[in-house]
Amino acid sequence: MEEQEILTTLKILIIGESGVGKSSLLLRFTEDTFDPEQAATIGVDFKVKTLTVDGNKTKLAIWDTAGQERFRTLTPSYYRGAQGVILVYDVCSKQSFNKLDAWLNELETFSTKHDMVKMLVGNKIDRPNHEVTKDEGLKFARKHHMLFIEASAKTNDGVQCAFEELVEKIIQTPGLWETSGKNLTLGSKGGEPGAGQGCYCVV
Amino acid sequence: MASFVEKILQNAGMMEKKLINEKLELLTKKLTELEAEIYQLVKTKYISYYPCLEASESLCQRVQDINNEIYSLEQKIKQESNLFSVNSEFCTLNQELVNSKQIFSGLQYLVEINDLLQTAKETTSDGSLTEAANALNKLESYFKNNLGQQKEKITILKTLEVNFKIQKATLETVVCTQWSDSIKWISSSDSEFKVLTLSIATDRNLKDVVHGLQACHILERHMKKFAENFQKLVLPLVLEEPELAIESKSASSSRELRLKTPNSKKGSVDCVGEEQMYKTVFANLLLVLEHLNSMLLKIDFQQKDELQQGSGQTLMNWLGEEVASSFLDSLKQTVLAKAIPSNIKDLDGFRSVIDATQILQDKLLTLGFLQLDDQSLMTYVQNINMLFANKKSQTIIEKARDLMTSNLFESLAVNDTRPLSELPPLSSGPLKAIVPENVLSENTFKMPKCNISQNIDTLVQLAYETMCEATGSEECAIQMFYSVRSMFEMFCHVVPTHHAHSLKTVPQLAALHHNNCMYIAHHLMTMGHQFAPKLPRDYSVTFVDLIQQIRKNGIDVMIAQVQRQKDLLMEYLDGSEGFSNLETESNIEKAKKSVGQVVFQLEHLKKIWKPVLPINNYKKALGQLIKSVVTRVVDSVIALEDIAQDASQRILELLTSLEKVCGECLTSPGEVASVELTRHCLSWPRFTELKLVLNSSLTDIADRWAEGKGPLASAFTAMELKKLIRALFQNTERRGNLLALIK
Repeated sequence: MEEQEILTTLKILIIGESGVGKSSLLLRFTEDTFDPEQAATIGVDFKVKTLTVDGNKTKLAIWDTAGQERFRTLTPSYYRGAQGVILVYDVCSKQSFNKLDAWLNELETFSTKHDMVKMLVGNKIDRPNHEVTKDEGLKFARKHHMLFIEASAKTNDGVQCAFEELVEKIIQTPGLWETSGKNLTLGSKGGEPGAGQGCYCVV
Repeated sequence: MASFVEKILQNAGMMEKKLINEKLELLTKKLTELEAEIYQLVKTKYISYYPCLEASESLCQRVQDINNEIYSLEQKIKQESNLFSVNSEFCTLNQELVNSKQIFSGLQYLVEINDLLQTAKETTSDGSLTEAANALNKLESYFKNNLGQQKEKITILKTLEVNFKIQKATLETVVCTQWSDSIKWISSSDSEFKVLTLSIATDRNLKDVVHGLQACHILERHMKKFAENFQKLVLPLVLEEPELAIESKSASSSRELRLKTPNSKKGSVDCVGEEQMYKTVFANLLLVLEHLNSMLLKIDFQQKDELQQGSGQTLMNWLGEEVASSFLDSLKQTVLAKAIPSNIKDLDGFRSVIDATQILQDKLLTLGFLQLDDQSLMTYVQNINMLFANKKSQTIIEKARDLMTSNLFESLAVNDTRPLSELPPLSSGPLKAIVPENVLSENTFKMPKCNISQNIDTLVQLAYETMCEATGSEECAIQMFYSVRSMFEMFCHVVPTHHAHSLKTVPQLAALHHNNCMYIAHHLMTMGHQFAPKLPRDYSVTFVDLIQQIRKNGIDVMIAQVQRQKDLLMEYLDGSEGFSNLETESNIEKAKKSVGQVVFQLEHLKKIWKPVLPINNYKKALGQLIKSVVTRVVDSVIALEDIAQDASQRILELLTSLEKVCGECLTSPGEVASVELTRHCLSWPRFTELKLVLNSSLTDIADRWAEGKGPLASAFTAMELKKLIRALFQNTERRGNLLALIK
């Protein structure tokens, strides 16, 4: 069976306050598992995953960063060259939402590609007692020109969609990535995954 | 008629002349006889030593007669010469007379010399030394002036001079003996006391001896000797022995002054207090001088005839001139300096010292020990503020120096539970409360927890105490402030120099010194402001200019120490020979040993630095060292051309053990090794990535490289990674593909 050639490798970053579920999202996406006792990330975690969007096979190099201040190291190095970033908050924690500004600020300060694609993810929608409404999230995303989606790593809601939307947007952004150009497919050959998973992506 | 009268007159003149001629002849004859006789006399007396006083007396009488005859003859001749103005014969006569007179006067001198010698001899033997000396002095002047030139002509003079010298020497011997018989210094000691006795004879006329010495011009020599003894034997006792007992005793033929000091010093002496010692010393000094004055020194050494010029110089004056200045100096340095208070509270008490000194000075003036214009003693004590400040600064500088040069290893912790000693409030007025918008952390201006040398803590406390004291006295404030400054200036120079060797070779001391410097700088930052409001306005009371220097010193020492440790670690790693050929047992041993040494050294540094340095500095220092080690190890592995699978496992084991220790070094409870390592050791990711590569498949490596977007790419360059892959994997197609991917 002939393997489709990989179009490009994209560097994706996951940032956000500690305990919002960054590592769980990654684990759900890359290995489709969930650990309720997920330990805090120390330093950075790194995973590779191939993803086909619109018929284009891409390899994602995903950097999962520590949210806890005390576990963070050498911030600038992992921002370098990132093409997409997933900014995560916990819909049950207003505090994690309020901190988004600070995270965006850090991102602006260290990112090297000014047109990098940003995706805001409100995680843990499976839980009751939301403190942040979908609307608030949407507003924030609009204000900062970000994609937005609510998701749950536990129930696998919106996880796949979040990554796919992000990658799609990156590929559609000219100059953000390089390729040999041979295998680029434009158009929605891969069907409607977003609609199928019921995600809401906004620019 | 006229011619007749002329003739008669001529005749009469002829007659007169004849008479004079005759008389002259007679006189000449008599003189010749006399000359012979005097010669004979002198000869018999001084050459034959034949006593012939009577003969000489009659001779004197005869000399006197002849003298009279010469005189009358001279008168006559003068009359004659009026009559016979120009007469050659008369001239001759006159000449003869002059000659005779000369001879006579010569003879007279001889007689006088003889007389004087006689007197001298007699007075010397019967004890009237002054007279004897005077006679000899007169004689000496004769020999010098009048007869000096005629020595050649009159042979007897030489003999007389020799005699004179003998006589003089005899007199000198006699007076010297008298002096030394009269004045005796005797030191003795028994089991209990040391006794210095000065015995002065009372059975003879000391005044005469003194004058005799003075007349012989040898008093000075003897007084010098006396002053020397006084200075050497008496003054130390007076100045240093508070338990000195002074007794004066009269014996049959002498008076004795006894100075008794106990042999064994009692402990209580010190308890009396050095500050009160001046009273005893002043009293003893006066007592000794008064005794000496009544026994000997009140004697006026100048003779009556000299009195007009020098106004009553006594021996006491002389002694004073000899010893007073050096004595006063030592009085100031020992006794008075001790009386100066070392605490500002006692400053008023010094008034009594000033009074006592005034009394002493007056009495010394009355005794004649001090000259009228000598005010140095009072000038000294009246300058009390300066004295106090000087003493104070000297004391604290001395103390500070002792602290700095003594052992700095004893340490104590600086933390919240042990705040500084109580400090005076910054200002007396109400504080203006400034509430900042963003409240700073309570720890912002705190000294981080660390250990400092005990002695340095004491030093800083000393500085605070001195500054506190400075605020209490306006006159001394500035000098005391400057003493504190000099104290810290001294710190900059003394500690790095005195402890140079230890600072270089003992890592813990280097760390302590670093903390000490930071601690001092920390306090100097505010010390000036703290005390400035209470010190004179016209000086800028600050220490901030010293801070940079002190900090730099601490940092330099620490950096040098880290560098030394790094060199050491590199030396250990040299033993691994670049981790090459780890297939062979011997090379494995070498590599293990070298890593073992590194591990040991790092653990050692952890043990001695972690409790001492502020945690940040500790991590920074150790991070630097770990970085050097890790960089060296990674570079060595990357440089290998071929790494067999066995070898790569060995390397991995070594790296793992190194990682474990490095992590332990940098973590405190609750901290995660990998985070701390990445934070404090820049090249740590290179190390972890290398570990991954050593343990990975080609696919894993490719994923981690992720087209230069993975973590491997941020740790290694493409060139490095390719080299590493070639060394680790066999040349296969897959390897080729991967290598092609890495750009």
